[in-house]
Amino acid sequence: MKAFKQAFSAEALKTFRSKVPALTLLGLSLGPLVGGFFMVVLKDPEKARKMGMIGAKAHLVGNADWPSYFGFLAQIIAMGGMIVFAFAASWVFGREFADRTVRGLLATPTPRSSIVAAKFSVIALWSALLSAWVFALGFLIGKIVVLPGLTRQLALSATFDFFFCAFLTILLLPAVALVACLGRGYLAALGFTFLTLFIGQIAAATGWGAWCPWSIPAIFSGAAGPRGPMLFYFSYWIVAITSLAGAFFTFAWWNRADHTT
Amino acid sequence: MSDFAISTHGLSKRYGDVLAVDLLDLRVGRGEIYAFLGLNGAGKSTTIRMLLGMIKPSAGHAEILGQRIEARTSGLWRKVGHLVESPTAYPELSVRENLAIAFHLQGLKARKRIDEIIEELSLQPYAHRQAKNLSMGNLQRLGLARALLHEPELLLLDEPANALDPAGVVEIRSMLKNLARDRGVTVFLSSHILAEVDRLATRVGIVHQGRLIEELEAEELERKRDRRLEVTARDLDKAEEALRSAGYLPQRTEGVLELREERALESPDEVARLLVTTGEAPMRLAVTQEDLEQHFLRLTRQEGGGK
Repeated sequence: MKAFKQAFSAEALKTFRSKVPALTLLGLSLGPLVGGFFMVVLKDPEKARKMGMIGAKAHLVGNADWPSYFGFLAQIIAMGGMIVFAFAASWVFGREFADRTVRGLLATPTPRSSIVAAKFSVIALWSALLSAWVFALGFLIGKIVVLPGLTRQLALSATFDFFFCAFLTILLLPAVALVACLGRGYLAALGFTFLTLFIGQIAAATGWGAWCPWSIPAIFSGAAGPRGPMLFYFSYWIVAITSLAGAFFTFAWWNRADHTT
Repeated sequence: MSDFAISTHGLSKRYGDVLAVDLLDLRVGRGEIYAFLGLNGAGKSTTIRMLLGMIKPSAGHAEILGQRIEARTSGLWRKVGHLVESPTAYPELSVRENLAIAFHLQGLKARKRIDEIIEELSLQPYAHRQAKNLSMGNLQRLGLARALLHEPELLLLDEPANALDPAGVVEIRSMLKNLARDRGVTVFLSSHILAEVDRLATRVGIVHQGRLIEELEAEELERKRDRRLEVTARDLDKAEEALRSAGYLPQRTEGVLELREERALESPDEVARLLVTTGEAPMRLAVTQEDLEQHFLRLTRQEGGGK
């Protein structure tokens, strides 16, 4: 535990002294802002009609009410989160290779597994905080816009759905970290993220979404319609297994690969 | 406790068809300053990385302070400081913050050690400067500061004098000498600045094409160096003839007569007297000694493949 604390202190210092957390915060904050704007547009059908394209896009969100708005927030975290959280993960792991600072991590009294665990923890914490921020900002915007239809039961179920969706998205990050290590930098990991988004879309569109880990968070969020008929119990295990496999191979890579960077 | 700070046993590394390190058997005693010399691609950095567990050997193994090195080795690194190849640092962090990262990873307690090492490496003016704005020389100092932060028993330094200005080179040389002398720190360093190694190392290992081709003590190097008496005169033919008549065996190279016999090296005044009496007074008479650089180049040429 002491070694983990040492590694976590180092990782936290690196992360929170960089501009990347602020960039990700800014990036994801656009989601609830855009959602709020769509709600304002939808509340006034005449204005929506005048706005043409934007009005049409706003209609895709649904109605100007809390259920539609919560659904939109869940989709933001499932789709936008997949990109932004993956960006964070590829930075946390990939920068050590891009900046060649990994040399300073490999032969220290802090075991490599503690360093990898600390990196995963920072990514998870970072992503969780971002999710909480998006939800809080979204909720605030919903209140400002004065959306109708908020009940206690809806608030509870929407909160659960949002954070479970964020949790599923976060579970997919070890695979991104592994690719950042294998590719020794950010680029391969970012490329992998876009590839998985593409694969996720194709799988969902062709009816295989329940079997594809990169479709499951988006399907859960309701991006592809009601999730009930599309997901089954094993879908969540697929995400968990993908996560464990990514983490296992990342730990193994740090402990076994030749480090020539 | 092992007598050796570093020992390798048939240490080898192969990358496909390339044998980067071939059956390396090194023994570095505690408190020694061991210089590891070799041309680019000779296998120096690969060896250092294997010593640090960053690269898995294809065959053989290494021991540091009596402990066998594996990728999962960790506690041992509390006693070892290292600088591998060019210095690196987190660019957006200041010098102090970069040292704080190393401080955390070393599990150190006393924060004042960061201030001490900043002072020891003369980094005070740059303590709050971001690493991306440091000169190469100061980045190298930061790398050395990180290696020395936890007051290690053993230092593994890859080209420690790289990018330092002449004053910095002298400063680092003196610091390493003092560490070895006063604190018994073992220093294992690779360098291409052979003149530096010449003045610093107690033992030198020459590696070529992955193999250790010579290992010698500083005194032994002194003995093995090629010494010669160089003579120049207005008429070299006549001077050569006079020397031959007196039983010397001069060799002529580029307008200079070279004598390697012990009696010439021990008594150059005799040679001068001989030439003066034969009317060929020397214009220049000097005993010269091959430096480490020349010795190294001669040796690698003999082994073949020297550049």
